[in-house]
Amino acid sequence: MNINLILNLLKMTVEASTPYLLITIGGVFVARAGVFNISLEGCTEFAAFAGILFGFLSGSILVGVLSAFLVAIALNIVFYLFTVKWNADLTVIGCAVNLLAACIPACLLQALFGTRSNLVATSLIDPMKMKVDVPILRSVPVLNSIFNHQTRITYLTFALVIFLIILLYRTKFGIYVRVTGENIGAAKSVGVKTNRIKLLCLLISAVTCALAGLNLSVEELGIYTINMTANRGFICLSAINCGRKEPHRACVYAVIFGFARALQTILNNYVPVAISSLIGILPYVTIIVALLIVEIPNARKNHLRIFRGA
Amino acid sequence: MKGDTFRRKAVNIGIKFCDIVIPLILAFGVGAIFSLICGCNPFTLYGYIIKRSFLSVGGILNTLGYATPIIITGMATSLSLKAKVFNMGVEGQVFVGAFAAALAGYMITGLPTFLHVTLCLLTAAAAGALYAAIPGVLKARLNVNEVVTTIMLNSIATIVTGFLTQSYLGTGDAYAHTENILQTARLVKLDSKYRCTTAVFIALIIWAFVFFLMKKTKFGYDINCIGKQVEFSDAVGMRVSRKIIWIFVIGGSFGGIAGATEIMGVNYNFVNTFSANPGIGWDGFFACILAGSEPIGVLLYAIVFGALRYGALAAQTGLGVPLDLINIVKSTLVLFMALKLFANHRSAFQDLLTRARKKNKAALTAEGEDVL
Repeated sequence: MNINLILNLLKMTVEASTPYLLITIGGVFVARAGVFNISLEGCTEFAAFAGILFGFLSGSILVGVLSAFLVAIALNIVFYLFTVKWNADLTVIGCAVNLLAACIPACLLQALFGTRSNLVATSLIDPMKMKVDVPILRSVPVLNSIFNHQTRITYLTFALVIFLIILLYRTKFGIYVRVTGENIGAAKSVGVKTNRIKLLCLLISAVTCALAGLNLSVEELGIYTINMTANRGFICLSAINCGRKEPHRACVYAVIFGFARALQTILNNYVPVAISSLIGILPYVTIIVALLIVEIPNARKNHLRIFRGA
Repeated sequence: MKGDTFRRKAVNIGIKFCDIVIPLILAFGVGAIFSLICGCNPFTLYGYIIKRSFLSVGGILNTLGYATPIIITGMATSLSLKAKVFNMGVEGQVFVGAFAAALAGYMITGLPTFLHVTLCLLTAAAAGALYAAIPGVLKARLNVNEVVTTIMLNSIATIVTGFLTQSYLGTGDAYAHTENILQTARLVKLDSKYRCTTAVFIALIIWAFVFFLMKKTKFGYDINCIGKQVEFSDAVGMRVSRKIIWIFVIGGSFGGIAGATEIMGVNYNFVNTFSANPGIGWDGFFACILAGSEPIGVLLYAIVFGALRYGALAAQTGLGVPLDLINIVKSTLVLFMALKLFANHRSAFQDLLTRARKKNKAALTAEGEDVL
């Protein structure tokens, strides 16, 4: 087996896992606060679109990045108002946001640029320059080829994951979040402002989704294409489900799914053209198998007879 | 007392009315903003859509043609939503069913028309049901979250059917499609110029079937109970897991039929993009959500969605407005409808009303005292 191939695969795994990890770690917070948020997908899509669009219109990457954050935060505040504050159904609102994310970019692109497929901003953003050269890694042989020359957000992701795990398990805020999700009545009775906790969790997830969107569109390619997120939000939801809402486990699953995605990209070069489009199901099949493997041992522990296998 | 109950009824109807009309106004308002961004007067656009989709026989037939699969998928979703099971996999089941129907349409030969059509529909239903059984069993036996699995299965269905069409069943044309189905497998168009086929009757039969199932049978009652309280339904001895699987299987077979009607009535061959933007299954899902999974509402919203679909296509060619504009209206409509502002926050409004009335009364008595 070719060693370079394996190194390349691992490098691509790191690359592909970055958005997964980001969306997952933000989603874990939201899930832990008891909000089943399926609009992670839409939020990421909007951020990816806003990053490129405003960057392209203003001619500065910074504006694009800032507006991506603003759009994601505004979207999640809307989500908070609709679901937590005004008690609308979570899944329905999530679906509506996802549909909006599918049609607003297409509509605006058609209106402003006359194409409804993509927006190329490579004149402004050079994806090659987005890769960072880390001097410390240069002398380490294996790690250099895997971890060096990744994007800034990739490095930020590792720090952010560790920081957020500490935040969830080692701080007062983390305890409040967990209590809110596990028993909202108990949380309210000891004076936790559950709505505020939920809002803060949604904001955390907005920031991570925005980072993921920026990583997809601005950093990796400098191009926005319609449906850029490509089900990543749902994949991360299943990572959270597989990890039973625990951040470290969910992140492990996110990396596994990232690996599946990388494997798909690599395999694409080695199989005949006829089969290459079939390889696309690899990540999805991985997820369903992973869900099965996680849930089978738990099936016996369920209290409800219905979910024990009658 | 009689006057009191009458007033309560009037208030109830008023609240329901407000909850439908205000979201409509808001959604079309948002649509108007985007319409202005696209450089088109919103009144022209909406007028054009209404004119094209409702104000002529051909327009109505086209609207019905676009509404047919949406009615079927909407009813498929409504069963599962009644039980609070979010079956978002109808889109995938539509793909599988359409693919199966397309294959059965040209591979089986030598049958009379009626038999062939029935056989194609049954094949599609079976394929959809089998495909829907996967998330159903996972949900019922292992409690795997159905939202995630159904959406993953949607992607798998799209990729696999596309792959098979492209690599093995293609006819060598520039775009990948299967061979045309035989004449005997085609559904007859009501008027050869327009989209509406006899499938609209199939849709109505399915609609009536689900209506009957939901309102008049024990199964429908059980579904309703499961939606309201799973634990309770389980405790009193309903076989909940079996019922969840049945819900998925029935919904899946309808999804398959919806795909089949598109292939057998309109396209005549399977193309991977036959259900585009946002997809028949998704339109049915949203129609069902808007109607609160009530059959009559699903029927109405499906027809409205059919009109929007056709109107949007007409507006794209006629006015040069992007197709996605109408989807924005649709999704904001879902967003605001889900709020049920007046129904959910009724007590708050009533508080306001009674407070105002008391104030009035107090003011009146105060005035009276002054006079005295």
